[in-house]
Amino acid sequence: MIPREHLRFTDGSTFEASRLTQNLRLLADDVNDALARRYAYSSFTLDFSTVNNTFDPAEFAYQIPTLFAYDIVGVEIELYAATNVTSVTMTVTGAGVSGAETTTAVGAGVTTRAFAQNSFVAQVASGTATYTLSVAASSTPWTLTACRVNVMIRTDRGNAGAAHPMWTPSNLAFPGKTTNEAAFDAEIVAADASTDANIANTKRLRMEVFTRRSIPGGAMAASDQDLPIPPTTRTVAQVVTGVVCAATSSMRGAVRDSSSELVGATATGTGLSSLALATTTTTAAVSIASSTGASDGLIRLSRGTGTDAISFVYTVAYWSL
Amino acid sequence: MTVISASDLNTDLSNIPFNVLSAGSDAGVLYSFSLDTLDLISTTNVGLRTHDFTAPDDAFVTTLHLRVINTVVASKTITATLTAISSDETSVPDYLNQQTVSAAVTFSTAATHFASSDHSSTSLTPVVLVKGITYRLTLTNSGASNVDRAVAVLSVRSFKRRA
Repeated sequence: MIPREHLRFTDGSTFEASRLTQNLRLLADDVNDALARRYAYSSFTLDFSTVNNTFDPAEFAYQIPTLFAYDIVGVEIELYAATNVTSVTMTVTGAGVSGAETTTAVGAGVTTRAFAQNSFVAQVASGTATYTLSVAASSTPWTLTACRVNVMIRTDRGNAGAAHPMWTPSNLAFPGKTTNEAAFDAEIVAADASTDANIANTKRLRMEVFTRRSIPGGAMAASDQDLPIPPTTRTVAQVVTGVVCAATSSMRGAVRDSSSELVGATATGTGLSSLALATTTTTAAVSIASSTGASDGLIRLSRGTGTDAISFVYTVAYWSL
Repeated sequence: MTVISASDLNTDLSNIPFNVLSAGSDAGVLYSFSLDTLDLISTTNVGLRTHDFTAPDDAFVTTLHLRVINTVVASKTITATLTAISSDETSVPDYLNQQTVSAAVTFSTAATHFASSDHSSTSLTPVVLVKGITYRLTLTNSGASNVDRAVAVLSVRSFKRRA
C-alpha cells in the first residue's frame, strides 16, 4: 500500500484550516486501510472419510475449545458418497458461537465429487465450538467414502495484543475558526495510538487439526502416527486431544520438533459413545527449521495406556506465530 | 495571532503514514494444507487421493512436501501435485490458474519416512494461491502395490502486508 499524497504546508503562508482537514482525512484513510489488513487467515480440515451408519454419534462431532477468538469466513464440504447417502450438512454450535450458517453438500456418487461452498462470517468468541456433521440417507447401510470439511478462519491480531482502535477524525471544524491546537493534537494522538497498536500486534493465531479413525487394537502402526507441519519458528499456545475409545486406553497428541516432544495432551477414553478431551496450554517457544524428512516438525499421535481399538482421535494444535 | 511552524506540521502529518508504511501490519506467515492417504494405490477412490480447498487469502507456495511410508518392496513413484480447478475469469489472470507444482518420491526398496520436497521459490514462476480460487492436491502411485501412507503437505506464506 502506498500512502496517500498529503498536502504540504509552507512557512510564510496563511494557514488554511481546510488543508489540515483534508490531510487528517487522508491520514485516517491510510491508518484505517492498515487496520483493515489486521487479519491472519488460515484453514483447518476435519476428516469424516470412511464414516458409516454404524459409527457412534460421538464420531461425527469435533469439539474444538476456543483458545482465542476467531471468525469463520467459510465452510466447504468435499464429498464422495456411497449409495443411499442423500446429503451431508455441517453445523457449528456452541455458547460462544454466533452467526454460523449450515452448509450442505448433496451426494453425487462414490467417484463423483460433490462440493459445497458457503461463505459467511461467524464469530467464535469463547467456550467450545462443536463442528458436527449430519448425514441424510435414504436407507442403510451407507458410507461416506471420502468426506472432508474445510473451515476457513481469520484471526484478528488485535486479539493477541493491545486493542486495535480505529481512528476517525472527529474535530475537523477548523474552517472559519481559530485553529484549535488542542483538538489537532488530540487527532494526532489518536492517529498515533491506532498506528502503534497496529505495529505492536504482530501475533498471528492459527490452528491445525490432525485426525485418525478406526485405529486397530494393539501396537500402533507408524502410518497412523505423524502429520508433518511447515517449518517455521512458532510458539505453541495450546494442544487439545480428543478421543473416543474404551476407558482402559488413552491417546496422546503432541507437537514435536526434530528430536523430541515439545508439548502434548493425553486424553483418556470415556467409552465408545462419548468424546473425551484433554488440554495442555503452554507458552513454549518452538523452533522448527527443516522440512527435509527426518528432521521435520510433527504433530504426533501415540498411545498412552492400553491397547484398545481407537474409534476416533484428533489433535488440535494452536499456534501463535 | 498564532504562528504555526509549517515544517512541524508537515512532520506531524508525515510521521504517521511513514510508520504505517514502514512497520505497520504483517510480515508473511506460514500455514498449510494437507492430504493424507492410507493404502495408496492407483485404484484408491479418487476422493481419498484428492483434496480440494479454497484459498482463504492470497498467498504463495513455499513448499510441497511429500512424506511416504512404504513397506512393500516394489518399484513405484509417488507423486503429489497441486493444480487450480476453478477460476473467475473476470478477475484472475489465466496464468495463475495454470500453475502446477509437484513433488515425487521413487522407491526400489522398502523404506519408511522417505520424503521429498519441491520448493516453488526456486522455479522461474512462483506459485501463487489466489483468494477464492479452489485448488486440488492429488496423490498418485505409479505402481501396482500400495504404500502404507502418503502425506502431501502444502506450505504457504501470506504476502507481506506493508500497509
